[in-house]
Amino acid sequence: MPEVKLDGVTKRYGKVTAVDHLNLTVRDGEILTLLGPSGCGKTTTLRCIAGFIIPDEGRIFLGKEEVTRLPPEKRDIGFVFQNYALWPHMTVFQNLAFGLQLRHTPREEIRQRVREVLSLVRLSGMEDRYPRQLSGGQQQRVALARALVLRPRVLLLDEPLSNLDAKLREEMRFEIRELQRQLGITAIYVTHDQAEALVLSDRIAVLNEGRLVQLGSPEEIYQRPANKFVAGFIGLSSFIKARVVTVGADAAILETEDGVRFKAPKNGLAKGQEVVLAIRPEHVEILSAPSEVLDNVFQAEVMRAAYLGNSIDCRLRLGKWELRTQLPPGRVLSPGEKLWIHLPSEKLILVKA
Amino acid sequence: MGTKWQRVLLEGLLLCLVFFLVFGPISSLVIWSIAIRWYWPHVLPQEIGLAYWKQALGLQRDWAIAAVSIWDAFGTSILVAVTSTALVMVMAIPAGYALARFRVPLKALILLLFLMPKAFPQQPIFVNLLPAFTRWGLAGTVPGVILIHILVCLIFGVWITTSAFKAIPQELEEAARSVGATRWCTFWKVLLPLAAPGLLVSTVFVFITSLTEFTGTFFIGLPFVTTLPMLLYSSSGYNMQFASVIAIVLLIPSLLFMVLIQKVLRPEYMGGIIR
Amino acid sequence: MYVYPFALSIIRSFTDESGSLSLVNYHKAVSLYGRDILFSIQVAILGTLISTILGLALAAYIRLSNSRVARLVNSISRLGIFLPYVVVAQMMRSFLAPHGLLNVLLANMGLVDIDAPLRLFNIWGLTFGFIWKETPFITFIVLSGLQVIDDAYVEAARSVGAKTHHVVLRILLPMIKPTIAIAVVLTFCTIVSTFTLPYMIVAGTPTTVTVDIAHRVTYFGDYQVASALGVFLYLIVGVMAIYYLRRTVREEVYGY
Repeated sequence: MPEVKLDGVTKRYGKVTAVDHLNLTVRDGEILTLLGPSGCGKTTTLRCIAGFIIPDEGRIFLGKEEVTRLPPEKRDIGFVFQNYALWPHMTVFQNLAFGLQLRHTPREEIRQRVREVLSLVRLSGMEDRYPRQLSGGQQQRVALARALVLRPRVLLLDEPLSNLDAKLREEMRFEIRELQRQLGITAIYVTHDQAEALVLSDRIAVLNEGRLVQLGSPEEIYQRPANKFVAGFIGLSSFIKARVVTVGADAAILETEDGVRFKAPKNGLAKGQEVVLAIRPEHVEILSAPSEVLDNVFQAEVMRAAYLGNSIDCRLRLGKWELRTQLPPGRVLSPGEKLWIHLPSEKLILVKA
Repeated sequence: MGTKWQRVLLEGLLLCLVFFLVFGPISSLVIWSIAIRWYWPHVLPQEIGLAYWKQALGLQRDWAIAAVSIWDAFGTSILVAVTSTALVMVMAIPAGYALARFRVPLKALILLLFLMPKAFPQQPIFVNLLPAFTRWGLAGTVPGVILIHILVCLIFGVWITTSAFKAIPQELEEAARSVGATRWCTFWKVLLPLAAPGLLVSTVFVFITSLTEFTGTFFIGLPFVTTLPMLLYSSSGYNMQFASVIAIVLLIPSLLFMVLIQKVLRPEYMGGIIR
Repeated sequence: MYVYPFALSIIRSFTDESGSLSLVNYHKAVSLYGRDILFSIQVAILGTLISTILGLALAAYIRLSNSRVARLVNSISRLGIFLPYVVVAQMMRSFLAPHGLLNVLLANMGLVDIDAPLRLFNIWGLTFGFIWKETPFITFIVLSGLQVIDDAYVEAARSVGAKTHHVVLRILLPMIKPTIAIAVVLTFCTIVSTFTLPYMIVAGTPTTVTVDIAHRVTYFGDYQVASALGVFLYLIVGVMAIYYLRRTVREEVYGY
């Protein structure tokens, strides 16, 4: 059963269309990420679901109930804010108990549920602290607990990790994922961080300019990006423009305008078609010598290389095209050096131009 | 939707109420200033005209109309206000600069001091200065009144200039020094132009405070120094029309100031000008 | 310039006519003007209370509503901040007079008897005048505090089920308690120490301490008793200031 459903949701600000006829269904118990660059409409979408924004067009359903115009306090949602928005004049306990008090929950039950949810986020015994007495990570978990203590139908998270330092952020990804699985709660997670989206999502919805560009599991999104935008936004990609010259029995031959030829899987290609090859850094293999057996072997020139500690970030030139790749450390590369590279044809990603 | 209409209705009622409460008293002033005859209990005057305005502005002289020219009092007021504003600003600019670059720990105390001139009982101060002023021959003289006005306005002036200077990041000053400007040159070429809007607010505010000052002038100046507020007070007992005219004259600069501060200038200075 | 008359007023208040130390002035002040001291405090409490309630309500309304009406109410209510007390006093004299505009309107609506209009040059008219002047001030201070609060705090409350009155009473106003305390203290002190408005509005007795000080000096030349009354004002203002300071220090330690 769909837990959250958006049907043609549109929101305009003056002439700018922040969300453009968005259709999206979030399944019961899954965690879905809205991913996209800033200004793509992901936060606006989330705030429409929460009820902080009323869309200009379209309808929003929670379960079977239409909530498009329902005020947020009547929607039964949990929301985690980017800056946490813990009320500074209340202790942790008061922050968590507030929503329960508004529902006239008996005092004993409130105490019980606050204790439970605090142990869930590993903050037991912190009831009487004020938010400013907590570290950023702890505040983050209190914010999460505040949203969870009401046992909402849907948990909405608006870039909840962006104010944490890198190390903590990575830890919290797993923690949120774990918690969501454990509780089986439907969650919608907004982020611009593709690594975050890949780690913690059941499915990812990639948005650009207010439209849904691609919806799928992290593997699908990474391995089969729907277009150049998705290929560029998720994972690093180098792009090469080419035209299909021949389509054979099991493979197609592509050629760039400066004469570089590639062998690629033929799936659905037609002769004369313009395509874009997206090449992931990990799909560039370095050879010690030229090979006769392999396809797609080229000699490329090192443009520059940067030492990153656990790897070397290297930019290569192939014809007039730039390729980015990562090499294991220990090799000294200098600009102008020639390398043999292999681009395995089955790993080439073809997207629409 | 029903709730939407309810909301519109409630907001309309609120607006009417606020409108009436704010503009009721003000319109009362305006109506009185142009009323020639107004008999109880009619809503509007029987006869209206600008006779009191003309008389007050010295455009006519009619013994049947109980009003005198306001120009004498106006002149005194302007003389007092201009002099005290000039003297206050001469003291307030260096003092404000010093305070702005001086760090003090007790924030609460500072905030209190910041808003205190509005709330501090000044009256016992004036009362106790009166004997001394009499001894020095300052009571009932223009210099005496100017001195009192400086006393009243100085705190306001210092606080607004302080916040004006505080709004300028110290880095700008340090940058000027680093490219070789002397302290003096930095002050003239960097600080003063940047602080100019704030200093303007401060000056205008001090001017208006002096122009409408009542309590100090009442104790030190009367009966020999008649500023506009004093004239307003002495006529308010017997002549509602004339007093209303003066009140409107005194109200105009404040209204202009309100427009100036809301339209032209940043709101940070508001904190300092409230009284 | 500030300290000298301040110290002088305290010294004078403890000095009798022969110049020796005594409490005779306080005795006189309390026996002659005890009622007026109470009157001053009454007006201050009443005026502060009503202005605060109105100011908080207006500020919360303006903060949460983004309608055109709210913006209009905001700019109209600013007016009171800018008008000097002497003008407000004259305005109230003409508005609240027995035959003034307010009574005219009420009489024509049949709400008061034409032969017995409301007499307002007393505690009610005075309090009204103070409320008229101070409500905009409180609204402004409180609103500037509310404007700083990030919308997320309000939205967080809404998302856990808070209605508007919960948001205002349990989130917004508690978050700016120190600001409200400043506004209340300042308003109270302003009302206690203002001379112009009661002097021009209140007819006869009882009246405020500030008016009494003026009478004592202008009619009797009695600086001792006037100073004693002045010390009462300092005391009231001082107590409020200390109350405020203690509160804020406490907030700084425990609150935020």
